[in-house]
Amino acid sequence: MDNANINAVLEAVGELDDAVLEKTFKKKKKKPIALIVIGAAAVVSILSGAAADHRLPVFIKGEKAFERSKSIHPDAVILSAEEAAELGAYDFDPRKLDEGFSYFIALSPSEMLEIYNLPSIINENFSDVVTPDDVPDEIQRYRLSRFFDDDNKKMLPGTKVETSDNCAYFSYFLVDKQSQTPMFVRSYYTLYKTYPFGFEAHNGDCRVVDLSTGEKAVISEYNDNTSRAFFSYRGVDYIITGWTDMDGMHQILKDFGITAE
Amino acid sequence: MEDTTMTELMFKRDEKGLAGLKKKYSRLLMKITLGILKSPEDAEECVNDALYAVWNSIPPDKPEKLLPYVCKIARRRAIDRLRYNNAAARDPGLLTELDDCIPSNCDIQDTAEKTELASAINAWVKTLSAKHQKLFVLRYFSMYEIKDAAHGAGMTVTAATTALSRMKVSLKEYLIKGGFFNG
Repeated sequence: MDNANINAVLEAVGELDDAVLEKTFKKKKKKPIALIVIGAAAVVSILSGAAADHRLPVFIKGEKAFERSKSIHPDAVILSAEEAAELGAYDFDPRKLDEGFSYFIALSPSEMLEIYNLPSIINENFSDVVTPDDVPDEIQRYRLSRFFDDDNKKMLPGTKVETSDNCAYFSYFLVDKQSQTPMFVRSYYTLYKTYPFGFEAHNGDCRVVDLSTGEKAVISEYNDNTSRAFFSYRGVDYIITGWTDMDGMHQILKDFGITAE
Repeated sequence: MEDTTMTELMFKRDEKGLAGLKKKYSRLLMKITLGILKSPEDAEECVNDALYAVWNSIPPDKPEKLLPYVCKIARRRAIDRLRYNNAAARDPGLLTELDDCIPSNCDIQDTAEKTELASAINAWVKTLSAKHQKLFVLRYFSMYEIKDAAHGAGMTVTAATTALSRMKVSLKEYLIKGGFFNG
């Protein structure tokens, strides 16, 4: 077939009936599952594919140390404020919902990520049942998801990470079952555009760890009895703050099953 | 914001309608254009073009269903860009698949024939189950990779591949039996 015919077929498929297209693309309203903790996960399989990779630099002490890769996750399920509310998003400030913030308390982090159709590194070595005593800041008890708006850029305090629009951000607490170390996990999923940003270790004491994907993680120790790991794993950026030292954080990465060892 | 509200606002030339459209559907449009173009930069440009094309076409248009209306415009922009970007940017696998649906002796050039072909494909799509309709749209309208189209239709990759293969045979037979082409 020549190009003219190929184009004709492409065009013809582009004129499909409105009702057929609407049925395919219109999002279905999800049923409320708030306050149902067990068995509440939506049946949405985790997306493992990624549309495109981008190589971005990681800086240590101001110098480029290695490159990491970010993938685009075009199949993320974008919840509207109304849909998030239906799923039990905590309505402590309605304006925050409108701005793309959704705080969940009834959903575990794994369930939350399943609903958003995004991959997760959480496994059976970690407990996501977090009590208030585990969490230093009350608001951090809630699992946060946030889709950055097109006109909104946010610098997260204390992380040297700048991200921008088209990024799905999630944060949640986990506890390492073996060491009982609590940790605060932040993850960034690029939906269709990447912005280069660097990561800089907080002090001079840091360690670079090889990951099973061929990528690397930077572990650094902080003055508040925490250690922080920054890495990209299968195209997703993670910053994990653990109430432990660098050895403890290294062990946590092993427990996630993502290190090369 | 409801689709009808956005349409009404744009019809009154109120930019809130366009802003609402961008907020609600730009990610979906990006998925469609990215599926066709495989380039985030080109895809984003097409989405922006499409949004402004919608803004410029309403009025006089007043689509009853805004979502398919804007999806079709975005797809047309992406196809135009695909042509512009020349054959190197095309997915040869997908084009080969589409090739299978049309008899080899067929030559479609004029607008009337194209319209007829579109009507025939539309009629055939309506004979499919809801799941297969979705799979067909995701694969051939949005040009998703098979694994993503399968995922979107709630099918395994193997099942989707089989279904698409059967659909191509079925479409070809449908078009020939309907007298659209000579077999």
